[in-house]
Amino acid sequence: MSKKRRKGKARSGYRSPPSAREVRAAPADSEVPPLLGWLSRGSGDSGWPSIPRSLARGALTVGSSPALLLVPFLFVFAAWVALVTLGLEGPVLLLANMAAVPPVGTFFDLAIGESIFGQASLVALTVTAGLIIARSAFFAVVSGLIVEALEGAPSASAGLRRGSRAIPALLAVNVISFSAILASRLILPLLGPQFAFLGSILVLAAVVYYLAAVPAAAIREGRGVQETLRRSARAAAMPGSRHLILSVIYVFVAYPPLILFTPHSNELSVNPFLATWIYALVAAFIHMSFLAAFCYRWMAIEPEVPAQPVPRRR
Amino acid sequence: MPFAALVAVALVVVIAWPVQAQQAAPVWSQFQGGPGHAGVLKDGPEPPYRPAWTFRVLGGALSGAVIVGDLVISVGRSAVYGIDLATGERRWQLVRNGGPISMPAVGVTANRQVLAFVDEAEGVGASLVGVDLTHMREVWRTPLETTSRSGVTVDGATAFIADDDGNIYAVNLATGALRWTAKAIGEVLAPPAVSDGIVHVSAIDSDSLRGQLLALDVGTGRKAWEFSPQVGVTTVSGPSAGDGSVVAGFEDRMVRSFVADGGEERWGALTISVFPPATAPAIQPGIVFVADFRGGLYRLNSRTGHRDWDHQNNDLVVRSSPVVSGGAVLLGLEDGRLVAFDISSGDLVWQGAPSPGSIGPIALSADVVVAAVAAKGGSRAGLVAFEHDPEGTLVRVPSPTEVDPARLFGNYAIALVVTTLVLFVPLRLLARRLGPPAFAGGEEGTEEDTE
Repeated sequence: MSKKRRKGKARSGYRSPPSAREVRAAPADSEVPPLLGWLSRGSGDSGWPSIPRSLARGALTVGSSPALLLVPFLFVFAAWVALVTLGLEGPVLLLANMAAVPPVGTFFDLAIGESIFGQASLVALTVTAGLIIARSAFFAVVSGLIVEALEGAPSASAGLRRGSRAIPALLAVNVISFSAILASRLILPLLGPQFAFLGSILVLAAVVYYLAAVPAAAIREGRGVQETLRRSARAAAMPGSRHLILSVIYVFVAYPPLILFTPHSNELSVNPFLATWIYALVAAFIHMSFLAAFCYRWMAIEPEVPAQPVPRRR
Repeated sequence: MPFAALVAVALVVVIAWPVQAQQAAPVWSQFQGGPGHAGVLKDGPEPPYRPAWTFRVLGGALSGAVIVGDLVISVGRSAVYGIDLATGERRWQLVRNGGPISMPAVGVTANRQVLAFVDEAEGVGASLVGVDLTHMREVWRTPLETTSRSGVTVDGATAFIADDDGNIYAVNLATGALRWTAKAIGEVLAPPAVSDGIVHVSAIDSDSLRGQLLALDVGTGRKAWEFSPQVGVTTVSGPSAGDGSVVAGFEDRMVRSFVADGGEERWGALTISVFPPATAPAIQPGIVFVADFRGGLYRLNSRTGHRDWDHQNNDLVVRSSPVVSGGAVLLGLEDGRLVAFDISSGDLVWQGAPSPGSIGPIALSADVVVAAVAAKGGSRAGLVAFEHDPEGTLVRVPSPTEVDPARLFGNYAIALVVTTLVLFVPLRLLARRLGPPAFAGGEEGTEEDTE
């Protein structure tokens, strides 16, 4: 617990985006290459919260809120039933990433569409597009609830209202993720099978790295889609390696291990076992905790994020 | 009936009797029962089944069986075996030099039954061998360019076979003379299918990752048409042909049907997995049955490709092709189970006990199902025969991919309650102790996070 917690006034509802004056000027030594800031600095000179603190705060935020538990849990079930209605027959390991944060979730949307309707199929792309829209709406709403909870006065109606405004930004994140995955599918096989797998994971990590702050930024600041994406990328490029490490941790947790340890993971069934459901819901909680951690981290460094692109260091 | 006519009939029966006894008609003469690989025996035994006998040999696996009258024939590593269909006892064996084990075939020509199988001797190479089953003697031996694993198909007086380099041979069954040869793009792992005057061959070139379904004129070997899928190919199923169509499964998980003599694609049907190369679909009028590598069995409409039903077995299918025995579809699984499905609903109606080896090609006679078992460890290879069990019971198990509302909703509801409580109670208590993060109201940011 913080020893220096400020007993500030309770706040709720929509928060005005910080004005240019409110935003702290970036320190002079932050003039780093905008995309490679994490390489040039140690972690000590960053405003990012530590990774354990971020994850703990994310888990606490989600786990202590009935709405933040039930909404993802119901989403997982509703998505499974909808996909089964469309023709999905498993395997049940797909449940583990049903609530995965983009681009990991987007990756699975594409895989699910192809699983039901085949590769290079127009129907598969249409279904993937539908899944992406549904996922964007879901993440916008959940992000609204998370931000409300992190701001200390959670209100479900305010969270829904604020979250719904972030749908376009979340849709943009998913579209970028989808494009990156498709591009990597075309390019990475040229590197050979060993590097292709590693490359696909790194592409996912890169998208998380640059766009993880979009949900919180969109909800908190209410800027346009383009500016929100820029703000997220600028935040990612701020000094310190913690954000990169957390992004890589998320992808490595969500992609191979989380699906591999699913009980009866390879079973083709539309009626998962009890153990599989419990695992899927715990996995949804883990995804939501990471999402909350990313929101928390954005809120922690929000005032430090430069309003304009940082000039390149010469 | 006049007396003279009765005498004439009696004479015909008496004269013909030894010939019939010596040359019983082939019941299941080759892979999937016939030259088109239809895999159907209308009066085959119905489930439930019970084991009738097993036939095991030392030193390796056996090929899928063919059935000629009351005789079962199977190729082993060092011999070809003739087995009594009723008892499973060995009647005879022919010495074989070696080489990969592949399906034999039996055909009738010049008033005699000829067994064709592949033999390969070190230093000599591979040959297609013809054995007169009436007199049990080798009648011809035709050399092949290289090792062959495809298995033999016999249609009329011609045997067809292909080798690992993609050479396709049409051999006169009576003399062993080559009628023609042709060339596919690469390795052929399933017997050619012959129907409607066309020979169909599935081939793969693992270097260029190309697959090919090749159609050749049965009389000349001239190419009629070919199909190569766009995606990189490492496996194509064997073809099955009949009723003017040829059907095969491809790398992109599509089962495709083509017009047999023109090559136009009639339909494509998506499955869950790819198809083992040594297997082939079963075809009966109006219906195609196909099994994919992950153990899914699919019933497709042969005119439209529409999936009537599928049953996911959640066990691999590597060497077994579906066959239709009466009103049931049979399939062999990698865990050694022979399983039977209701032909109209797709429900599992019977399953054998798991056994140490995977079930390979299945052969049918009117009374007995003979399934080849390939031992995984190589120690318990052999043939396992099943017969109808009048005292057995049928089950009715739907595919796990059919929605069971009680199980689906029930398991989820329990998981929802358990997971929510387990997570919520301790984390809520912890959150109350820790309080909210400190940036509530904090444009100044992260006091809490100053470490």
